[in-house]
Amino acid sequence: MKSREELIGMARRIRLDIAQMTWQSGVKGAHLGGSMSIAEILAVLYGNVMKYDPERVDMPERDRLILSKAHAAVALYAALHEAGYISREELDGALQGDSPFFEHPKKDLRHGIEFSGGSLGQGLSLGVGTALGLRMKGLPSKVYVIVGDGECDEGQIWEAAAAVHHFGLRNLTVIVDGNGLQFDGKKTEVLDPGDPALRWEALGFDVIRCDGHDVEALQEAITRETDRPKAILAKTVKGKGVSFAENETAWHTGRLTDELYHQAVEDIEECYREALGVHD
Amino acid sequence: MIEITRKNIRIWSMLGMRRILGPAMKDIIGENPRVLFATADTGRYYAWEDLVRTYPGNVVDVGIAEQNLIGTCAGLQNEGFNVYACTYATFLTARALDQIRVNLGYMGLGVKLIGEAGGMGDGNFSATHMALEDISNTRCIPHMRVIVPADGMELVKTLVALKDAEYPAYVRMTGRADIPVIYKEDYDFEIGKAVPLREGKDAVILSNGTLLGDVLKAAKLLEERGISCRVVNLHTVKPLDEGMLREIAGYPLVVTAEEHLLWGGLGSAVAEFYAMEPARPRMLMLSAGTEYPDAKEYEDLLKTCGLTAPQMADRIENALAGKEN
Repeated sequence: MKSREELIGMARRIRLDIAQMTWQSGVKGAHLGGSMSIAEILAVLYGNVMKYDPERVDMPERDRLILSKAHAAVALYAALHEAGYISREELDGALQGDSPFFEHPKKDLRHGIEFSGGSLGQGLSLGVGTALGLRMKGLPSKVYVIVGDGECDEGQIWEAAAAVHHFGLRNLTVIVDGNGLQFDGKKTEVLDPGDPALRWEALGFDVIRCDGHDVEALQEAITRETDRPKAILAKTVKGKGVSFAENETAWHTGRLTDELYHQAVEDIEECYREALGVHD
Repeated sequence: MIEITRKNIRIWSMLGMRRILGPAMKDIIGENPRVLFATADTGRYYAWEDLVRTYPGNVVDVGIAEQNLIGTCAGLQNEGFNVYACTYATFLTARALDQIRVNLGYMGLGVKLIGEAGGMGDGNFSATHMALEDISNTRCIPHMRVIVPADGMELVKTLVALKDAEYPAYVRMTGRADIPVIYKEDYDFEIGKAVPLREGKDAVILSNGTLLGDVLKAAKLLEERGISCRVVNLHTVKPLDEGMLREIAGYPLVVTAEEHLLWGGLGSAVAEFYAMEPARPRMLMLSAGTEYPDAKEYEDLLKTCGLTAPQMADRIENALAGKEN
């Protein structure tokens, strides 16, 4: 079991790799904002919670992670590097040339990617099928689906959420990245659906709100035993750790010049020290 | 149920495709426990009571939620099950097309889609319930096989042929109850291999689904007028039987007849094939046209679209005489 400090360190490395991949992609840039917001979520899942083995990629008992908000692919690649699925060399080539690691991930079990993504709203349905299939096969594996709060505009999310309730899929956990921003602006200004907790609760989920950048709170929430399927509403900051990108709508996607990249690295180190509670 | 006997052929014709489905799936699941049957709240159409009672663990109903149906089935397929998913053809292949595209086309997950009320079988419910673009929508999806069975026996053969298939497929069910018996006896069925139903030298008619009953009648009417037509059951629209299409390229006229809008269906598929060939026949594409018809009973809709046997015979005769249709 990794310590709090180790998980914070893992989130730091994930952020540094997100910044590096964004920078190395050149003028194309990458989805930096919504990738930075899930660094701790991925660190906790791959660092302490999920059961997996990069040496046995198709191990039936592995836990399954589905990144429904698949535009945060660079965060997933960085986490899969931490988990041992993607090599340093492969990560250094991501988003470039013939690399199989695109702006949206493509199904590639060898590298730990369970499903392709990119068209929003679809991951929770895949989670329903996966969780149902695991139960039918009598496997104890768990399914974790990361969705964006903006992505919850999609009706299919709610079709799938009703199915989670109906089939009683206790082996499935939804983690909502609540960074409060979507492409056109603030979540509440683009489309305000009311209190998201009420929606998930109404569909029979055990709703846990937590700070999505607090690794201990996340771990407690994700591992808490509940009688019902679980929805974790993680309050996060879009662009977290990068001063000029935090809470900036424009940084949904963006390119990092050399100057901005160096600034981002400095900011991420500062964010890391803050998280550890070390002050200059 | 899926045993091929004269009695079953008669029963299948009476039941129509949708009520063959449940009992056929029950037999398939009985021998293949990894097969699942999924639907979006249309299960009762398929006479599925016995299936649900016997194998409740192999049946998944997601409610009226076609997008989630595709995603859920894709997830199950990815876990090693072979999933048949059936609901209204148009809601399945138009409403959930992006889900089909991403999960079945892009990821290649081999879910077997079964569209009920393909064409105008439920046209009395209005154009919302007609599936007139389903072949077009599914045909352009990578990896997808597209099959339109002619009668009850061919539907059963198609369902059985897909039980171990790893690729995604779309099976279009057509007609209502009391569908024509195209095959009175057992025959060799193979996905992708067209079946000649009748020989002739003046024209070839390519068709599929229950419309073949009217096509065969049209061929008979034309025979009485001294025009002999070859009729071929092109049950698989994708992949096309290219060998057969090359064989018939020298005919004076190749006719396609389908319950589909003019664009993107069987006729388009055949025309696309010939467009790249050195020798191409003249074509006549008989279809439901270019508008959504107003609601009517099935037989009346066929008439509105010019797809009854006498109308098709006239249109083919005109085309052979060089007259406008």
